[in-house]
Amino acid sequence: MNIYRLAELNIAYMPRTAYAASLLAPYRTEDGDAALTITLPLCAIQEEHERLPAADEGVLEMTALLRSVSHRLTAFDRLVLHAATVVMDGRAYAFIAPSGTGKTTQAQLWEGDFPDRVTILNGDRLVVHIRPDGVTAFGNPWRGREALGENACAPLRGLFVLSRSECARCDRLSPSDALPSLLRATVYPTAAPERETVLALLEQLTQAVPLYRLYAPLSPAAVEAALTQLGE
Amino acid sequence: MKIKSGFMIRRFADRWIVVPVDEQADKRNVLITLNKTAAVAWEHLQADTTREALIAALTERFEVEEAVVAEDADRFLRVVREAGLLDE
Repeated sequence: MNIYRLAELNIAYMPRTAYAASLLAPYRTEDGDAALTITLPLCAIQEEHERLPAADEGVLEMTALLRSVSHRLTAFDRLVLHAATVVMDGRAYAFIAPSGTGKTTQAQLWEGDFPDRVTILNGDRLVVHIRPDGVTAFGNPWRGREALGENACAPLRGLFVLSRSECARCDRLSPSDALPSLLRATVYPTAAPERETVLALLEQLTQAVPLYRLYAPLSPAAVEAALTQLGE
Repeated sequence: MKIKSGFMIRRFADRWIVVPVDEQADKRNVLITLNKTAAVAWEHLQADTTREALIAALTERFEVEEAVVAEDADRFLRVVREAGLLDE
């Protein structure tokens, strides 16, 4: 078994495909024992194949692994979110939205506007570790179609729920108003105890991290609107 | 009448939320946000009750006029009925 370090957690996993091994390689570690072990049964790959019939084995493995990791990490106070995340001046800001809304584009706009201050932590998924003293954002191997991201981390200091719009505007959002978008952006089990775990983590997240709704055209005006709210 | 089984109520920040769990979650995926009055009404409707008993419970709990409470109670019952959450 190889050990991979994801969001400060050692995970034992043996890749099935060269594709998965290459994406996971930057996270491989020789230090320490595994806190959890992930094994993907063949049926898990098969289920992904039914969802994505045109995908090759490597993509299916990474998708199944993402699903398993998303479920298992909640027991370790970590959540996987469908989000694009930038790091600006050492602070992470995440953009949450359904696919196709423009969250990766938003991250790229920030990077383009401030090349000396902004890097993209990840263009498609965010892993957060939620602790009483704050929330940390982590890079991870699931970097999306554009393969944007790095193995790095930063304190999460803002979370933007993104909506496409003609005009740029950014407003504060309450935890309960942000919840529907957050539930759509994370794995949300149906069994009561697991559902409670996810809701408890989301409650901590929304109380620790400022929340915003960002109405964004695909232009620098959206970046300006967001930065005004952040006081930058 | 009472609320159907298979729903979990919990505090979320400054609100109460209700979500389906287990088999109910397989049937539908809803998120209901309740203010304080609605949360008390929801708890009351966990056991079989009547509109009149609900109004009496809310009146006692919030120490407000029955007419005000009746309006809130009827609105709450309308919402949960339309959402298919009530067993009558």
